[in-house]
Amino acid sequence: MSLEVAVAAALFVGVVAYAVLGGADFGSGFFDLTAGDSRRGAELRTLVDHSIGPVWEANHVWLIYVLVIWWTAFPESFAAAMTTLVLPLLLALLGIVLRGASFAFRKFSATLGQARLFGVVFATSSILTPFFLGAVAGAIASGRVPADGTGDRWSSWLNPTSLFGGVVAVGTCAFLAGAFLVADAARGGRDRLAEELRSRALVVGVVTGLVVFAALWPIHEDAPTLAEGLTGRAAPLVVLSALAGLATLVLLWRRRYALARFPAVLAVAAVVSGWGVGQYPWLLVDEMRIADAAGADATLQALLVAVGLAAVVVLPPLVYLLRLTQSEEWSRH
Amino acid sequence: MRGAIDIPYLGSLIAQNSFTEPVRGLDTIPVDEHPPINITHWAFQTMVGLGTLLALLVVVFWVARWRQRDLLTKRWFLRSAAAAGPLAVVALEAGWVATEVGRQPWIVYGFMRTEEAAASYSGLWWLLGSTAVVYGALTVGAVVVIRSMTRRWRAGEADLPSPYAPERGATERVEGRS
Repeated sequence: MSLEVAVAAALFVGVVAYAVLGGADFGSGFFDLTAGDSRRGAELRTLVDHSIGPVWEANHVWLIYVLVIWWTAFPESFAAAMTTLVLPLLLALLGIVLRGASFAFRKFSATLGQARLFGVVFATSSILTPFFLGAVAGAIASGRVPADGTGDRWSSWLNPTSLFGGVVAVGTCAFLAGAFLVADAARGGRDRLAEELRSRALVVGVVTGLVVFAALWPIHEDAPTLAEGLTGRAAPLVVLSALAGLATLVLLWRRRYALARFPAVLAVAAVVSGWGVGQYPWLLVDEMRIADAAGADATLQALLVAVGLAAVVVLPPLVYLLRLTQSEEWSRH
Repeated sequence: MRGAIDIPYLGSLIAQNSFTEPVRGLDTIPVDEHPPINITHWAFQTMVGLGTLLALLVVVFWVARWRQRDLLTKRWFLRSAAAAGPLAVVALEAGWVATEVGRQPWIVYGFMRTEEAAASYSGLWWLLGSTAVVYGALTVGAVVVIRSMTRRWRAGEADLPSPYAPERGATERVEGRS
């Protein structure tokens, strides 16, 4: 593996981690938004609060990791993407800011009215943010980001691949959140809530699965380079995601909630990796290869050292935190 | 300059990483590369002044405590402690102003000027305006929520449960006690 491909792989590991960990976080907003009125949805909203409270905003470390590696290692492709896709990226940023703040505000609201207002902002921005990030991915994957950054400000991300990318991002987030929230509810002894979440997670899972595979058709028309990769090199990952998705549904159906979390993570990681492997060796599809986009060797080497240090310093506490949130003691109170 | 205190070597060490290298004055830098001087100057003074004041407050507290005097019973100390919060934010922002205004007109010092780095979008003013609006709204939200938390804590509530449903009674609770 060449140096620049190693750095690109390290970058993409961050993308997958953000899609999975950040995704489960974002997706809880979908269940929050559709929980019903304040009386009916109270229990679910309290569960959402409890589930993502401890990891609140922690998952954005992955986004920061991805952006920093991207601009340091592949600066010209970063500038090109930021310039062409400034609108969806700004909207995603708006969503991230509003979401983080309103989630914290809602938890300590004095009145139901305030809690409702902040709750709506939290939940809608939780859905809009992954949509715009998915649209950005779609724009890059369908070759709409020219190397000089002069792509159209609107049509670059308002096109079939981007729109499907956005919907797939929202769907996978909700799918993951569903699997984790059901397990949280069951572990905390809230059986009635777990039953309710189970049926909704099953619906979300089926719909997301259908959307992911329906998206292959517009991608075939709209993004031929990616389609070629998806049916070629990345085909095993596509198959893996389908199998893991099915396994999740079967386990949810049979109420094996704790177990269902694992294939759910695998399915989403496989979908996202499928995109990455599918567009290899392009960084900006049809425009800039990884090798052409890379900066100086010294920079890339230093980056790999930094990635290694981060793995040693940041990963253990993060794993510990995630383990705690998934533990029985934390789910009970 | 009146009242200056000369400390030999230290300035060179901080600015040039050397004991002997002279620190370049503003007179050696071309006029078209000058930053807005007064803003930088006052921001830096504000940061250093407030920072020193805050550190002094801590020293005073611990010295008093060491001499068996509890300043937490003194009204003036509690007022200073309350003021220290916002002042720390002012010091921090002044520090940012000092560095960011101070390196103008460069965005990457010596390599790229700020106007060369700025994007050519037509809507930059709109973006700045929307950012101000969003963060203004978030500030209002933060103040409202934090003030209500203070009120409820004063009313003796240790735990503030999430008010998601009418039966949780958040509304009645606050009205009943305030």
